Amino acid sequence: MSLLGLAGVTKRFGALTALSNVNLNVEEGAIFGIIGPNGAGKSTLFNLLTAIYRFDEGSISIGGVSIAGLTTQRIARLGVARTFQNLRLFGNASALANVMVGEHLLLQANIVDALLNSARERRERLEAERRARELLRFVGVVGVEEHFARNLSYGTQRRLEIARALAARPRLLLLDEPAAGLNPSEKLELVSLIRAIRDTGATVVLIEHDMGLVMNLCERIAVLDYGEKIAEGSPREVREHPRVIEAYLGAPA
Amino acid sequence: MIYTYAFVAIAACVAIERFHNRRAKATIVLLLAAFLAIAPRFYGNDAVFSVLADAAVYVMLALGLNIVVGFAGLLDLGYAAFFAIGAYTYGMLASPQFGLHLPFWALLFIAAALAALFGALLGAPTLRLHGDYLAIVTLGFGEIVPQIFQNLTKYTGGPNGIAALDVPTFFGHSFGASVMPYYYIALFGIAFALWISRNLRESRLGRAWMAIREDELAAKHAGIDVLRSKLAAFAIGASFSGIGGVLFAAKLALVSPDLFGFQVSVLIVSMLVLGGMGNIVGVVVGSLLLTIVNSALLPQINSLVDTAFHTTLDLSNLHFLIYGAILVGIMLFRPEGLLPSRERRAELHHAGEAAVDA
Repeated sequence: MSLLGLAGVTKRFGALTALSNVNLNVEEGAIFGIIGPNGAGKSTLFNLLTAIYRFDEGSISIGGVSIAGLTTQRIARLGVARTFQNLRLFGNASALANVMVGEHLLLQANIVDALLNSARERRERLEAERRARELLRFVGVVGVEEHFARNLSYGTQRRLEIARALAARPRLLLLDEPAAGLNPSEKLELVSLIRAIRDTGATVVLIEHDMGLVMNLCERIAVLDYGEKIAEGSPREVREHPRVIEAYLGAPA
Repeated sequence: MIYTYAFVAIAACVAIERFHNRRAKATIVLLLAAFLAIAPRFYGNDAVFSVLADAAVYVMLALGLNIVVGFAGLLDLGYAAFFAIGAYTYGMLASPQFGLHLPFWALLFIAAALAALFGALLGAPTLRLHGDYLAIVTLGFGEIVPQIFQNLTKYTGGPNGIAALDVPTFFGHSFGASVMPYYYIALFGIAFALWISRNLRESRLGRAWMAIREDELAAKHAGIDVLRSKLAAFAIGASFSGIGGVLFAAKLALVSPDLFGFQVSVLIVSMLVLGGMGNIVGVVVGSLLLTIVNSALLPQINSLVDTAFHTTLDLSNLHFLIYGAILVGIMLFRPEGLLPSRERRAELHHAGEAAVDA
């Protein structure tokens, strides 16, 4: 069954059509890549999925639920978590605290629990901290749990942001250029990390510019160009698709 | 004498910041509490404890505002409005004004609830605003509330306010003219406010505030209900101010609109900036220092100058100048405040720090 479905999705910014009539289905448990030249509308697509923008036409459903009109936090409740192209960590908070915020929806403590430091609050805090440490180990951020996020190296920050997204135990994980700025060995680690994430049951959709990484990692790839989906298929199909070659290399003379 | 108390309290606060051992911290807190509770039997007089009781009320206010500004990152420049609401709650419900004489103790809770309610009412439409815009709206609210009290002459006594407020009783014993009960109640108030502040900081709600303060968009993506969390901060912060207002009004036995003007809001923000926004102990130090300067140091300098030069100078007119000088000085030399939180220090000094590699 498809976890994420887009049908005829269109987004305009004034006279500019950023996305035009996009249809897309992502199967549960997939690692799905979205590629395309700069300005193709990839990030806009992600921003529609988490309601940073509202789409003008079409419909988007996640796990069978239409997200039209839902707020970002409601969509998070559907089990969607994401990372950002330009990291958006809580810089003046420890790595551990960053991940614990990610667990927000798993916890129940309310304002009264907070005021009185109730047994539930204390129990949940201990649980949340334990899980956060586990997640940090899982993504390979070790030994800097108490450091402020802003003081971590770039590669570590990228992994920390993934850990924060994973903390919500998402069904659908959106990664916006996870390999940007990483060196080759970090990229290799990222590939195995994303596979490990999928093996825990999450569906991963990622935007990426690094073709080698996308072709190696993704089972299916959709290609956007000027807001339109010009191709979709296996890495091999996409690589040989004439419109994709044209979009990346220009039209044959 | 007042400086002895202030010095002991501030020294204890600094020590608490310096020690990292929980045992040591707890010991200092207990010693300080014991000192503040027992020393008045041997040392000091009514005038001293009057100032200290006022200082304690301001510490409570500052701790309340710290939840709004320091924890949730919402700049509230009209915080005195909630102080006024608390004070007028006591003024109207425990005085001959309406012939209502509700008990002081009940009014502490009623005022806290009312202030929280108004905090939520103000917050609901305005907390969608960010940064400077929110500051302007709260500034307006802070101006409007005293104006309303001033102009609802029928109910609030207008510009003259309400006088002859009830003297609180404790199990049938009247507080009488002594200031000591207020001093002790305010100490309890601080202890309570400190406990609540610490609980909040470590809570799920506290982490949500941190997230909102650092990056609201990322906070939303974690599923945090941003508006509700901000409302909670506003309401809890306001309730501290409401309790402070009742204490203040009961001690003074008087409320009038000019007691809750803009300068009070500015004073409390100055306390946070001076002490170190977001850090509970820093806020206590900042508010103690400013109240002592205001209520003890300035009047003393004043009378010294007057007797020496046979003038009739009034330094209290220079309050704004002095806050201004303090704020400018702090911003220039120690922008994170005297005892900052780890977060603020990092924020303001990150440029010089090297990245730590994992």
